[in-house]
This record gives sequence, structure tokens and C-alpha cells, in this order.
Amino acid sequence: MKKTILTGVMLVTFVLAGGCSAPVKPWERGTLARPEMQFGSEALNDAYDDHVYFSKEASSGGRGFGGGGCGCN
Amino acid sequence: MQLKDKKKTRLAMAASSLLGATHSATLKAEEAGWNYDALMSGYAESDDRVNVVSFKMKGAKEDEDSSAVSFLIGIDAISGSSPTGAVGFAGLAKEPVGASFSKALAVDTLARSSGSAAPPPAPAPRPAPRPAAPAPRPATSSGGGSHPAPASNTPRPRPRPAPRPATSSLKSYPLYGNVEDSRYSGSVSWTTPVGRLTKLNYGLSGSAEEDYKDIGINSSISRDFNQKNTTLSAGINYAHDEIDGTIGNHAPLSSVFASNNEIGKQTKDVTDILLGVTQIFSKSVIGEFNYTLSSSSGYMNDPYKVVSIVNSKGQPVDHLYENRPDSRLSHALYGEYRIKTSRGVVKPSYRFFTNDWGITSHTFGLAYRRDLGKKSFIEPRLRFYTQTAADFYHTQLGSRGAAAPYASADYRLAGFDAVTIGLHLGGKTRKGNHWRAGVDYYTHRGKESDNQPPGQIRVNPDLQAITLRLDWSF
Repeated sequence: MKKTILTGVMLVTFVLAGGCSAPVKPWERGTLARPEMQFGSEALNDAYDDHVYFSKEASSGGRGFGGGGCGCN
Repeated sequence: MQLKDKKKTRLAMAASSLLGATHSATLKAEEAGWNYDALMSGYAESDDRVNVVSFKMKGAKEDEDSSAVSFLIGIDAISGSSPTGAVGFAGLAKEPVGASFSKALAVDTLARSSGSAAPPPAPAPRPAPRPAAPAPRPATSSGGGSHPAPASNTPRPRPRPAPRPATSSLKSYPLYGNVEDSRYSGSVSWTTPVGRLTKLNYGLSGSAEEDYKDIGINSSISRDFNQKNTTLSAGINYAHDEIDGTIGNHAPLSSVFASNNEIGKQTKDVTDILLGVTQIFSKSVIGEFNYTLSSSSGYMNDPYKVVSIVNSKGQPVDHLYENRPDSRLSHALYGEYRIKTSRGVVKPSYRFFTNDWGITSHTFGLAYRRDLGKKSFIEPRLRFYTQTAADFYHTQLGSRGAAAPYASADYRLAGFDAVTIGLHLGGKTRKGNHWRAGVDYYTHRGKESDNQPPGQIRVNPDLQAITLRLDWSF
């Protein structure tokens, strides 16, 4: 719980200050190195989701390029 | 002794990090060679609409110097039917369109010989279908009757609120029947390190289906700053598309009953620009923020979509091929966090999207990947989406003149809300392979502006879809 609150406070701080706290040192990145903490570690999955939404909705892009090549119905 | 070993490992890790080896490189150095990821999925929509069975595969190889190559291939088998945008009307006979094509449209139309307000310029001779309702002489002037026609400066027809028609006559949705197509897609990408902090990426992509071809080229650069706590990236993508509808491409706003209105193969060019920041906030929080700009020009119509012209009773008297602007400029802002908690990872995301067609959307995503023991996880997923309608979205038109200059009844350009609820499971096998299996349920609900007169079948019917997937990396 404490951790969650701390995380929340840190996020708000970042958004407000537009900066970040002391840099995380390379040897402190054990958690960040886990695949589930890395953007793009499940690229195929993400690409599949994006393509489904791209063909059903009028919005695209954001996570990556807008994608394309589809006359989907 | 053990302590000493730990210290040694930590020192080695620190050294390798300082020397510039990224974590992924450190981790993958042991298992140099190709890594593969395969995804099988099934997508099914309600009411016998679209079904898609897909197989996608990704291969990636990263060398110790951080240079990498990857490829992606995919096959989608598409079948089913999709709303054309044509107004359906209970009791009216279905009239075939484009009889010379094997895959024909069939639309509900008031007998055109007696009831058409604006006869098509050169109708092909056809047997007159028996009208199910007495054919009234529709008012040709706009504004009269219970169903006012939109003037060109009125954004959208505002028929009086009506109860939604019963969904018992699902088969009478004016659908484009028997879509059967296969889509083949592929891409290749190369990454080269430049110095210790910069990476260059180049890529090619393409896809082909019977009525649509796409070829693209892209490049991006990323650079680490702030002791690798911040990564800035920029990229550009150019794509050229060819559109060749299986029923032909037709002159915008020409009648589906007209002949000699085919315009042949059409093209479209798309340029995307991406600017992104990835920021480490703490030992357990990382965020990604992107801005993408997309500029398209050329043929933006969907060759299978039409807009109906209705009389004062709301009965369709003609159907015109849709017409969208020939350019579009879109902006998207995207942010996603990954937050490690004691039991898993929380993944909140948000996207703001807007374009010059009048569409603005908000997408909220939230997934929580909760560890189940050391090797597996369960991931509930939620997504909320809402969009406004395009300026030229009309469920129907009151007269031919009102159609100028742009009109579409495509349900994807309507105002609607969508919700996705999903549940995924995943894990790691003894050999170290990762897997993920999931089911997602998608619902699409049109907004109240889609209210149509009594008797009409909805142009933008609600939609439910279910997705099943199995992802396996090895």
C-alpha cells in the first residue's frame, strides 16, 4: 500500500514538475530489465491489438506508426 | 563466500552496464541467435459479420554489439459481411446492385421506376421489383415532412427520436455479403548502434489482399540521455497504397444503380512522423510518451460503402457511393506507464487522437499483470474508447444535392463508444519459452445521434466481437 501511494505521488510529482528525480543507476535496474517492464517486449501482441482497433475505429497511431495496408471491413 | 560471489556478480553487471551494454543485450548474449514469436488468433463478430483467423510470426536476432535484425510475417483469412452504410427499411424489396459482378451488393430500395425522387442518370435495365409498400411521391424539396433533409451546411440529419428497431431481422441488415479475402503482410527491420548511446533503425513493410496493396519504408533514430534514464526517439514512415475494390471503385456520389461510373484502381500516400520519450522514473516505474502525426492524401473512400437517399417517410430511394475528403491530417498523443508492484505490473495508458475530419477520440487502457507464483501470470485488461463522428458522417441524405461535397455512412466514422474486457494468462515453460493465451470481448455502441426514423434498420448497428489468441515465443 505504502509503495502504491509512493508511486502515485511520484507520478504526480513528475507530471507537475516535468522532470524526474535522481537518475536510477545501472545496477539498480534489475526490475526494469524484466521483459514485462519493457515497452515493445510483446510487439506481436501489441501489433495484433492495434490492427484490430485500426480496422474498427477511426483512430490510429500513438504506440507506434499508424499502421496501414488494410481494406478491412 | 556467498557474499563475495554476489558482490562479484554485481560488479560485473555494473561494469557491463557502464561499458554500454544494454540489459536486453546482456540477457540475450547467452542465447545469441534467433528468437521467434508466433501468434495464432481468431476474431469473430456478432450477427455473422466479420470473422478473421490470423497467424503472425516474428523473428529477431540481436548481436552483442546491439545491432539487430527482425522480421514479421502474417496471414489473415477474412470472411463474413459488413454494413455498407445503406439504409435498410422493413418491408422493402432487396434490389441487387452491380449484377455484372459476382459479389454483388443487395440494398433495400423503393421501386425506382415509380418512386425515385432523382432517377440515376443511366439505369441499367432490370426487372422492376414489386414494391412492398405503396410508392409515394417523395417530396423533392428539403425541409418538408418528418424527416428533414440536411442542407449542405447542416452537419447531419436530425430525424425525430425513434425507438431503436427490433433486432429480430438481423439478416435484413444491408450487408455486403460474402466477403472472402486473405491478407498477407510482412516487414523487415534493421537496427545499428552508432556510438554508445544512439541507435538507427530502418525498415520495410508491405501487405497485400485482393482489393488492397500497401508498401512502406520507415526509419527512426533513438538516443539515450541522462545516464540512460531518458531515451528520445524520432521516426518517419512513408507508405503507398493501392485500392481496387472487388466490385470496382466507383465515382464518388454516383448511384449504385448507374453504369459506366467505374473509376479504376486508386492510390493513397501516407506519411507518419513519430516523436517519443521513454523515461525511467524510479527503480520500478517507467513511462513512454509519443506524439504521432499522420498525413494521408489520395483515395480515402471505402469502395464498399454507400450513403442512402431517403424520401420523407425515410424509405431509401437511391444509394450513392460515399465520398470522403482526399486528404487527412491526424495527431495522436500517447502515454503508457509500467509500474512494478510487489505482486505484478500495472500498465495504465491513454491516447488522445484528433484529425481534420472532425474525429476526436480518447482511449483509456488498464492492464494488471499479476504474478501467479514465479513462472506464470494472470492479466485482466480493460479498454475504454470514445470517438466523435466525422463532420461528413450522415446516416442518410434527404436529397441528392445535399450530398455535396462529402458524405459517408461508414459506422467507423460515426460517433460511438467501445469497451474491451479481456483476461489473459501466461507464463514461462521449463525451457524458458514464454506463452500467453487470452480472450477479449469488444462491444461497440453507437451514440444517440444515430437515431433513425421508424421502419428503418440501423445504419450503425451495435457490434460485439470476441478475440481469442495464443502467443508462443521460442
